Amino acid sequence: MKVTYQWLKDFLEIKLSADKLADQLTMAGLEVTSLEKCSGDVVFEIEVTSNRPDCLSILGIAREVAAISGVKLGSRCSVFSSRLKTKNLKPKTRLSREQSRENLSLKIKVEDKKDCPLYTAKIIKGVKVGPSPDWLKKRLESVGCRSVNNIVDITNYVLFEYGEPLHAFDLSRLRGDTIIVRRAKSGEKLTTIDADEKTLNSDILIIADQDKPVAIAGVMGGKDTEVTQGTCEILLEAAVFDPVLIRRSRQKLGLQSESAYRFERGIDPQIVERASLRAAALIEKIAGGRCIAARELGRAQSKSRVISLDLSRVSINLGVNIALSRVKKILVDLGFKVKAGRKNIFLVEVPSYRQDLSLEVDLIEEIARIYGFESIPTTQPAIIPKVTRDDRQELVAITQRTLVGIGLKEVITYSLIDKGLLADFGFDAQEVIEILNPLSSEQEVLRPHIIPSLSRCIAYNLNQKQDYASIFEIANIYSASGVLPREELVLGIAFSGVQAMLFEQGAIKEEFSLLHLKGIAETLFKRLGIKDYDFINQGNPETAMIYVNREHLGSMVRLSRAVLDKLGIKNKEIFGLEISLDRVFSHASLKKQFRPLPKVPGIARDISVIFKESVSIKQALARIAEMGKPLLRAVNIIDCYQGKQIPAGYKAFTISCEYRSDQRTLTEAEINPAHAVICKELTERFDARMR
Amino acid sequence: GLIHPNVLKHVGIDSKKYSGFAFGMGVERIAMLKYGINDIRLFFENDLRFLKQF
Repeated sequence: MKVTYQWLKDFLEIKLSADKLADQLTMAGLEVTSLEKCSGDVVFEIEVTSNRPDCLSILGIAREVAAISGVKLGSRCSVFSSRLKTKNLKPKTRLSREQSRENLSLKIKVEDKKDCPLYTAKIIKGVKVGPSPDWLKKRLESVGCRSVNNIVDITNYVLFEYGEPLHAFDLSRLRGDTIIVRRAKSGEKLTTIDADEKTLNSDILIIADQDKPVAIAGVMGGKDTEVTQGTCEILLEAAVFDPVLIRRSRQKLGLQSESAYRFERGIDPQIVERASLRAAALIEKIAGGRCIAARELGRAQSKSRVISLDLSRVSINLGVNIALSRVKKILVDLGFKVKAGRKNIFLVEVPSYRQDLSLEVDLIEEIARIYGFESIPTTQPAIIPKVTRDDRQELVAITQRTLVGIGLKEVITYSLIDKGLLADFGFDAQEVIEILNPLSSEQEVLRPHIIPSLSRCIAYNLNQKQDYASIFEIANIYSASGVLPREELVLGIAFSGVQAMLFEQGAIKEEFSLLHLKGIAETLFKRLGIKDYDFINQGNPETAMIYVNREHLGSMVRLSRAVLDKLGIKNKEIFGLEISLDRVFSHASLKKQFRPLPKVPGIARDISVIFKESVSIKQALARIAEMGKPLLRAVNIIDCYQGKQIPAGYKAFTISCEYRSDQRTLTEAEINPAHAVICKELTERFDARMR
Repeated sequence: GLIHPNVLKHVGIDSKKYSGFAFGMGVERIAMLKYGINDIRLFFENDLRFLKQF
């Protein structure tokens, strides 16, 4: 909402510069989001919170400024000296038969006073409709309102100034002598001032004459009765409408207006007549004419509220001692009436425009914000928080550290994804949990797998011209199962591209493959103390299942060409891994048992061997380890090779065997037989050929 | 800020005896202040050129 510096000065004396004032308003709870200099004035854009409808006007903000600066609202300023030409024009409450003074009778009929607790109308005759004076046009423009003609402009001016929306009807276009506030009948039509015909129903509150609807109450006027060049007599409406009903009417018709905005949030009934008088006086002054009748129906008074304030609670709640006299001044400056109650108690009467205040703590908050939150000294809390990690968090931390140490980067992708992504990967939408009211089609379902999101992330980074991308994520995946959905913590890893690694021999450019994923998984298992694991190809060389303690916990995959196309990736591969961390952790053991260092050296023997592609290396190594007991201590692959010099359908390995005895240094002679046995086993059982 | 007495009442705590305090800070925003990062969306784009800096 916009207010201007000069307009505020109409209401009170302001010594602060616009910038300083903006700061103070912000610190007191009315955030000034922008300041703009505009032809000799400064426009403040203020964000008014929904609990302060009383601030939706220049007057409201002026009251705040008065409270903050400890100044009184000016009584000499022009706004309050509006006088109507026709003196003693007191509004009449109910229609009486002695309406004879005017040669015009005017009645108000309100169908349901819950819909409209207060309605006032003034008749002004002899107006001349024309353009508004410059000062009026400028002020309206500065708060973002278009100038129409002097009458309409004045109603808008008073809306911004006092926060009470007014409406002017061309009286000659109203049929009958009664202005009626009622619900529309289903099917009734009204063309509003935006030249759009609306069809109404009984959920919508309207102003009507004896024949038909003439305005959507509190929202927008009708085209037929709007004030135009030729208008010479007007009915000036100032009212209070039920906020819920106005909001519903407005939404049903798809309308928005400054009037509706204020009615929805609550109008102070005590401002209604003042605003009406102000507008009538301005109309008389600017457009000529004379106010000849005034009517009022409903209650302008609202019950005053008294809140009891225990002064000792002020210092308890705020943690600072504020002098009694200061507390009293703050409350008085805010427009509250303060009476001393029993000992240490103030009885505070709160004005009708502060509907947001009802409890003692509300008053204490007012005191705090006017005193200044920044004036409350900072102290350290007496609690010292203890940070502890439970086992699971510890395992997650180890996983993160291990993967980052290997060189992967942790990413965070969204838990909500679009169905299209799952379809691209060939996952069926069977047990996928759908959101009933997604914010967008990007966030339709809770993801049942993590690899699609990671693959998308890789695709994004490849598009940023990265040579390679290697990422991981630890997050939940979701699936429908029975009454409650299932949530499972998984680890996802994905990479793509060529990683240059530096070794003593020089730079090596190595393409990523499934074996790299396997290596990373094994490193992680080792770190978590997991020894019994398997990677099993089931016929498809592009995927492998991961088993821990014979339980299937995850898989690794090389994305197919079709999926890569859907992701928009050409010329690159993506490899991904997804494994249930919840279940991996259930097999983890961080216990370590020290093994004494060997006292004597061992002997290493290498075997260069060629296997058929179909042979399981894992089984071969296990067999070697078994057969080589007790002297064979370690068996490792130190090289593997396929390609030139190796016939098709075969793979070559170099296996290193380390022999050692705990008691004595072994000799070659002792090892040879053992080694020969192993080599024989390889050739016979595994059909290997020595190189 | 301080917890509203109505909230304490609904969980059976006497607001005359106890007060409550609650606050929250966006972890991303603190990181933005500390490292001088200018756009919060960077935390969710997972651009490696951003991630590698940390």
